[in-house]
Amino acid sequence: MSSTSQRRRLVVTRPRPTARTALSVLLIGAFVLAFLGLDTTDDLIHQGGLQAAARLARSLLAPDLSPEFLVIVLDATLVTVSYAVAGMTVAIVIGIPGAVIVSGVLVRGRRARAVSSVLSRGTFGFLRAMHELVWALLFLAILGLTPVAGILAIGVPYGATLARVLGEHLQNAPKEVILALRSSGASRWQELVYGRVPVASGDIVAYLAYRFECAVRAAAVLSFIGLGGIGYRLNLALHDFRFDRVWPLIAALVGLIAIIDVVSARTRRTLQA
Amino acid sequence: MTTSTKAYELRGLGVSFSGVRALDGVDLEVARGESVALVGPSGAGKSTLLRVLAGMVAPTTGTVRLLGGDPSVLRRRGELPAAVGLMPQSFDLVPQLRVKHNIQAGALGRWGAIRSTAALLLPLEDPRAREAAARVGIEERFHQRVSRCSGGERQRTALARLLVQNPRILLVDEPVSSLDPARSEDLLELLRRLAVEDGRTLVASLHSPELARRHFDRVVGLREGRVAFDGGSSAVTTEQLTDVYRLVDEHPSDSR
Repeated sequence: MSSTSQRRRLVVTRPRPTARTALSVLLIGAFVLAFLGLDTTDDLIHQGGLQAAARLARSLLAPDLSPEFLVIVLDATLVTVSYAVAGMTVAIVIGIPGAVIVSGVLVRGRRARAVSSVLSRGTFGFLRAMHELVWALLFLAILGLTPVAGILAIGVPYGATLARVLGEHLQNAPKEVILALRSSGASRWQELVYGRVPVASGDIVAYLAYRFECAVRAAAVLSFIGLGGIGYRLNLALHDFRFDRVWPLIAALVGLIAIIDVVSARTRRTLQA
Repeated sequence: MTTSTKAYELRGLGVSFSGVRALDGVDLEVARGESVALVGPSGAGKSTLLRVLAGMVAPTTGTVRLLGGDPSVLRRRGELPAAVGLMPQSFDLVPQLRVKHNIQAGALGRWGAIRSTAALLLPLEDPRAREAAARVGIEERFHQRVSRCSGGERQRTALARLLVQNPRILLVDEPVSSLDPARSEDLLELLRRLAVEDGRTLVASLHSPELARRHFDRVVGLREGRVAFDGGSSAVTTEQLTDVYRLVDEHPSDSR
């Protein structure tokens, strides 16, 4: 390689200092202007807010740990977990076959693969584009305030997300491993079950666990709209200014996430070791 | 399949990858049951030649006859796995699966979707996989996950997979590059025995000309994509071997 082409490549890949400085000045300026533009005459922070925050902080020292309330917390936790589990079940039923379709690994021929990929990506992309809260409102309008509405609100967008992400995991199996299977006569299905799935199993489990974690949070939030669970109880407690009841509920949510984290890390380790 | 007495007939074989010539005018015949070592320095085209012989790379110029047939036709008919099998240098096993399942994967070309899926999920055992494991000496690791196997155990697993695939021609890419001298002798002895006992043709690439001469019927020297010499193990001279490994710099007319 000649030295001139090397020099030229260096200049192209390095951002010009003047352009970068100008951009920085512009962005910092916009940031400062945005603050100056704030209307400070109105209550930027709601007047009672500081007081409420102080009470919330104080109640941290004296949470409501009465047996009656703990039973309510346990019940709300179980309801939230049930929503998450049911939602993830629907998501897996949609997402695992969806992942195989999106990845296109079973389709022969480049053109057929391109067509099926565009169609499936479009469909799942559409389902994924809406937040689970929007789905909840939609299903609520169709099905009324039933648990099924909450389950589908999690299951449909999560299934579409699983299809896309797990589909990519299936596509990214090392080429050599797949070629080795192919050279011993493996069909596309056999490539999938003997190669792509085992190779990606650790990542698949990790992502399912992460999505389950998200589903628990989503189920907690969805219960604000009237379905039972941690969010519903949290809403009630805040309405009644029972800040001492807020903390046990948040602790239950955090505890749940922590448990999922530990279990998923352990499962992943056994799969990969 | 065909009844040709030749395992391979290569005429004027050339292979280019995006304009770069990896092989250039290679003529080579390999008889059935013969064992051939390919020697030569890194970049001489040994791996490319093996991939052509395996039917994984199509020639850019020239012709390849595999057991008298066209490799691409054999592939289309699904007859390639029964004709030829390659053990790659990196083995390319599935580390998350057990030794047993990796060995059974050699039979995938003969198994349907249901049988192969059941063999993976149910505690079924293929007697052929067990037998292949015993022949290569990996039986005691049969149920171990490949990710927990040593390099030598992985190599034997890949070899057993090839035996289950049961091709007429065994191709082996650099089998001893990561083994110590004693283990290298063992492995080459094993390869030779497996080929002779089943009447298979064996073609292996090697870095060591000494091992090539001791363990193979015939040694083919490659240099810069061409055949530099080709002869019986006893006929190959030390000069020919040192010449094939000579650095390009020592030969001004070769430098580009």
